[in-house]
Amino acid sequence: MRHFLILILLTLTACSPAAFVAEPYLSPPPAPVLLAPISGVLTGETVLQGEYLLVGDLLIPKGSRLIIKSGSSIYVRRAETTKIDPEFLSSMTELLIRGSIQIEGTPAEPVRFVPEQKTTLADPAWAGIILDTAEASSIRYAQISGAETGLLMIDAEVVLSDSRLEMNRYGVVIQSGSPLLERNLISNGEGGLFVWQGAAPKLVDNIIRQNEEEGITIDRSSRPVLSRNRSQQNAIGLVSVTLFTSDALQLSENTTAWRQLLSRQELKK
Amino acid sequence: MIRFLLIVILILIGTPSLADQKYTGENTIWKDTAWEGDILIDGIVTVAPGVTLEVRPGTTVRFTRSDSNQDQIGEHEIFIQGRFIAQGTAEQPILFTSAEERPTPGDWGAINMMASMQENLLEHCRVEYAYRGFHAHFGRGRLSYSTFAYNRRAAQFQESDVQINACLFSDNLNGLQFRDSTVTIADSVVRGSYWGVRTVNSRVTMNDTLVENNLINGINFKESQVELDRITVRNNRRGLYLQRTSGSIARSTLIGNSEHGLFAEESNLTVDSSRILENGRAGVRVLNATLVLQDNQILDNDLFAMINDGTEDLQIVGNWWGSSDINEIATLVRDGHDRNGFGLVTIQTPLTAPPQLAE
Repeated sequence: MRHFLILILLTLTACSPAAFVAEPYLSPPPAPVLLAPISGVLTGETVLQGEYLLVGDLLIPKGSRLIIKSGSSIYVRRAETTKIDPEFLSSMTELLIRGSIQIEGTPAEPVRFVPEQKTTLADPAWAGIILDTAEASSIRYAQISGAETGLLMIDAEVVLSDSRLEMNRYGVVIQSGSPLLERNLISNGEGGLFVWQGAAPKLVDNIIRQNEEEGITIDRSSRPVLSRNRSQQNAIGLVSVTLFTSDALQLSENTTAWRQLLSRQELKK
Repeated sequence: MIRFLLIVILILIGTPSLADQKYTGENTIWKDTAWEGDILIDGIVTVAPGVTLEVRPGTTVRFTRSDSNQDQIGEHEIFIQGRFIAQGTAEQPILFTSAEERPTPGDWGAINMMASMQENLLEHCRVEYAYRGFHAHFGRGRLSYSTFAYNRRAAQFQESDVQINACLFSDNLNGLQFRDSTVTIADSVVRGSYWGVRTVNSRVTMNDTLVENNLINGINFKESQVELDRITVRNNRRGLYLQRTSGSIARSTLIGNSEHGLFAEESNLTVDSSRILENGRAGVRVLNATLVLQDNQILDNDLFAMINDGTEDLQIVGNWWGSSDINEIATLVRDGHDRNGFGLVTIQTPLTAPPQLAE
């Protein structure tokens, strides 16, 4: 019986995210618990509630749905190989959504995605959540950190609201598509929000702050619609062709408020 | 005369020609065979060692979809341990495609070569809706004047020797992906993938090739040796990304990529007579690389002409930055002057006018 108890204790210790160091904005690490490992391909509808360890790439294919209930924590294990599998988009651990995802955090019980071990911006632990031509998805009250890109949306149908994307190399990258981003905080990354390749997101009441380089970048081909956003305390508040009205975007306390992109015609002059 | 007639008869019957053939289940071809007309593969066709399968101009080879383990990867394929020759013509190309009414990428497996070291040919072919259009382990192949479209991976190979000439890789999930191989790519186009070209531990010669509109990376060379001449890498998220790679880039254009035109990480690289223009975050991003940049135009990049993200200092001599004023050029560079702990970039003797570069 004693051996059995010791064995259980050892198992619990081995599986706990003991090396995880919480950033100031995150709750303290959990007490040692047995985390359910997840990876691979989840088809149909999958509901996650509780604490999980993302031990490898996880794909939600077209037609399938992942629901993550409030209060859940997903700890992420760093990939150790240079795998280049065709179904996935990064050599790092990734949560790849081609079907749909519904993250149902609440103000009191957000859903957290946290690296198992402490990371730096230059050496992120995982790729992040990738919504690749994803079907209708919603992410509410999520906290995402330690990723190369917290959320990468490629032509995806997504509502991202009330979420905190902090300490990711890039907070949010939107490549084409027209997602809705409302009341999010994107902070403490290398770059905050990138709107690229013909994207037309609707950006409402978001705060982008304290990023080492650009707060918001909008390339020449993209046409976002902005309302009541703030870009603060970044090295560069905004990179774009045109400046927005203060109702759309307030720029404050950035080292450089605006870096204007010249149009291609102007560049050729 | 009798001997002549015998030779003619032997030639005529030497390679049996199969038209409008259907293969069901697992089949092995044990003697040299030629296909023509419409071939339907409803299983796996293996070409035995020492045997040649020839596919004649104008042939259509269709594969039914079978996914026994529900991994969304079709399993029906051609598995070659002998030799494979698919030589179409411009007028009569050869088509390898799905037999499904509504085809999707990955409906069928691959033109799959294993330990097939005689030269395999795909010429004037179109390969579509495969999991891997061309796949080889320990193989030799020459792909020319062919199109690979709507595959999960257009071409993937390991430990192989492959020549690619005048091919189009378009709208595949990933374009070209290989490791531990020797590869020549010429006069080709890779576009509309997630990863355009992705290599590990390979020796690559690439010239007159366009890599564009790829969503994650245009080109990523890892632990490889490369010689790139007259390539164009444009409008990808990331342009040309080298990790622990050595080699040279000449007479090339890296333009309009969202992140960087060139990112050299722990690499040893010479870049000359090239244009690095209109990229998003940086024209050139360097992380502890040994980099010789000479006679290039590094212009109109959105944030910085050059970023040094490493700890090592760099000296860059003799390029056109749009100005010959050192102080003005310094504003285009992000380095240890801007951030503590990072290496410096010293710009020396910048050109005073754009170098004459070939169009």
